[in-house]
Amino acid sequence: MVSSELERLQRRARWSYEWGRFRAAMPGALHALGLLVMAAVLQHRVRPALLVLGGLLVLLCLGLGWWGRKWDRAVTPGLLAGLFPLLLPFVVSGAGHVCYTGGCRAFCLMTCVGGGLAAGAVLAFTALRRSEGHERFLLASGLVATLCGSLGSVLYGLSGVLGLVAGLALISTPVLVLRRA
Amino acid sequence: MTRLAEGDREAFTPAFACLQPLLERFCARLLPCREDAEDAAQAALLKVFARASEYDVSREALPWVLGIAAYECRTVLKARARRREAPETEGTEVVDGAAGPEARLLAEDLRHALAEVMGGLRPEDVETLEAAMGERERPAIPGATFRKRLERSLGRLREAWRMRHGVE
Repeated sequence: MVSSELERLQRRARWSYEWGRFRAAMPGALHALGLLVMAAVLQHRVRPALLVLGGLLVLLCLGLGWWGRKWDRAVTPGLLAGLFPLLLPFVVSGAGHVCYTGGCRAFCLMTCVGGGLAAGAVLAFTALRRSEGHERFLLASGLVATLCGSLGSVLYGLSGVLGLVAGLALISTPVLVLRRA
Repeated sequence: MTRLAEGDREAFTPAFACLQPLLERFCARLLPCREDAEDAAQAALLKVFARASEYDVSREALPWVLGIAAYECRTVLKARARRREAPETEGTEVVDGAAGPEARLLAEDLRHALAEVMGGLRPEDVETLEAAMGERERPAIPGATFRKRLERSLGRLREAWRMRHGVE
């Protein structure tokens, strides 16, 4: 085969490879999209913040899945762990809780922190069972779980999202440090 | 392939350099035509890279790659067989559809022979046969009755044809 033809074939093969990786990343992104739709349905309205966070989550899942190199393995655990902080605020409000006072605000914030703690515990447990790449896994899956959980925590504003991040970091960081030690 | 499946782009060039000649040789052995073998090898190569992320790292890479190549070779062979069949069919249609002088003469003779035989039938039978051929309006009778009448008329036509020409 002539050299130029071979180069053209190599370019086409590379394009096929990248397209194949993109297609392999689609299920994760579609699951993230499904969670975004679920959060919008549960909130009965579509806030701009929800759309931004959901868009970031879909792009992150797509990017991690496409890039691979073990970063893609963080998508599914991250989404599953993110379900806790995503659903907890809806469970609390569905149970009849209505925010009126400042004290209640603290309760709602604690709900987000609790969701973050649960997500962090799930991710830490999963990371400990892995033989290598704990930092990478915790970083990627933590990011996915944070964005996923913030789709629910955004119900309580920025403080809810920060509470979720604090909860997640509170439990996953010590695991990471102890593992490295 | 394991590195490619995990998304390591640095493994692409060595994998391409290894797989391209391998697949060309494999397809050349399976397919007698050189152009077909090249086409199948290229298609297989592109498919291998497109599906690299689906590759199960716990299994051998070579059978997986050659399986894809064999499938592509089969596809090329089927396509070639279809191409071979298609012109023959088209050719037959052209011959059948073309009314040459001999065919036209034969058809004219048959029409005359049929008219002669039908001339010897009863008028009711002729009416029934012409109605069945769409040359006259169907009589206002129930469908089952018409079918029975047509059956009888055809029987008489066959008998008359046999009497006149000696063949069915």
